Amino acid sequence: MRFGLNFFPSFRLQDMSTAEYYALGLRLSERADELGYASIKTVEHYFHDYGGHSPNPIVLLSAIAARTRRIRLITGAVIPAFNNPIKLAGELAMLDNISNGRLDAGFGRAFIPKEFDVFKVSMEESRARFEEGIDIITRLWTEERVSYDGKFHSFRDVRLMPRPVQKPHPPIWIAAVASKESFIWAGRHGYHIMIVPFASNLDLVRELVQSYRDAWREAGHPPGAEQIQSSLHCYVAETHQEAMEGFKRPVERYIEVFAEAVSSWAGQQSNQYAGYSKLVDAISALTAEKDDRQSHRAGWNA
Amino acid sequence: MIDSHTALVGTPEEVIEQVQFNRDLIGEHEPSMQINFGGIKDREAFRTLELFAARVMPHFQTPVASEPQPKNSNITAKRSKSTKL
Repeated sequence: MRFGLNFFPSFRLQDMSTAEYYALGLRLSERADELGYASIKTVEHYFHDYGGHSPNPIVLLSAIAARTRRIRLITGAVIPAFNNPIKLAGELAMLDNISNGRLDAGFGRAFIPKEFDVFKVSMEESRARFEEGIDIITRLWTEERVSYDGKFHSFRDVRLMPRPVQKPHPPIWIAAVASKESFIWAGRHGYHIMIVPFASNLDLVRELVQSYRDAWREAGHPPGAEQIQSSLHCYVAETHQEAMEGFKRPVERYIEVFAEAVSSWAGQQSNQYAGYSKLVDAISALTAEKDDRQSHRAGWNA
Repeated sequence: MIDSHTALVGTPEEVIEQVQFNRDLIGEHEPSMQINFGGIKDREAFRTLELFAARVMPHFQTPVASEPQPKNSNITAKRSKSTKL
């Protein structure tokens, strides 16, 4: 069984500086590489303390690549809708070369309305842009010269440079959170998945993962070759009490900045994001729980 | 979050049980762990990193089949087992 690290910045500047956060991530990466951890993941988010210290995962992963020898580097995720996919294909191929074939290319649709507003991308188009982006990137990675006539991008006779190290191309991972369609789509295409069970319920997580494995198998991909990463907070200490006390403050900060980032969901409805309003409600409920707990001086039990 | 198994928190022995619970639920997977969230600094992040590597990872060296346990497997029994530890 493999274990990886997920650098998802969720601090405020009164907690630490951005430079301190990156420096800690680099030191942790060096040690994780020695200890046998399998992967390091970073995210693409903007404008909020929830993830916003990492608008481009490729930059931090490149620094990590230079300090490590064997650990896999996973973009968790890059967002084709907010990038030109031709440029993104080349940047990811650079990282695959810098790391000598250690890139896991993870793609996401994004889900924070503010990010779509700023980049003037419609949330209703996010799935179509995501699917077209991945299609363009895999073709540029695998074909010598590509001409493409898509809904959002068209180009003629392009030879991508540099070429990726991994053949036929770096493994592709899909960020799948709450949309069953994403799980099935990923399985059908033979892509691996990155799930976020946080704020979901166990029966739903089990059901979504099972629909992924079923879609994978039904499409004829070799059973058991599918891979799943599950994003989890982790806090370990020698004693139970020390762990509970240590976990409390940072996880409350995490929930606080998450709730802030998804607050722009208020009043949003999108049939492209079925399940997300439930997720946002669950986050809001956690912050309400926290306020309630603080007022009653009760212990952490979320 | 701890009770709902979306966080791995506790002593190494408790965390082993939590990882196993998730493995029984969804089958073979790779936990992608946030150990430096919410402003956690060096001492605590490295403590988690080292304790997990030294005392949790060795328990999961043997590969198992990728399939999760059948639906309606006894989650409650596993949960009560984990609270004993």
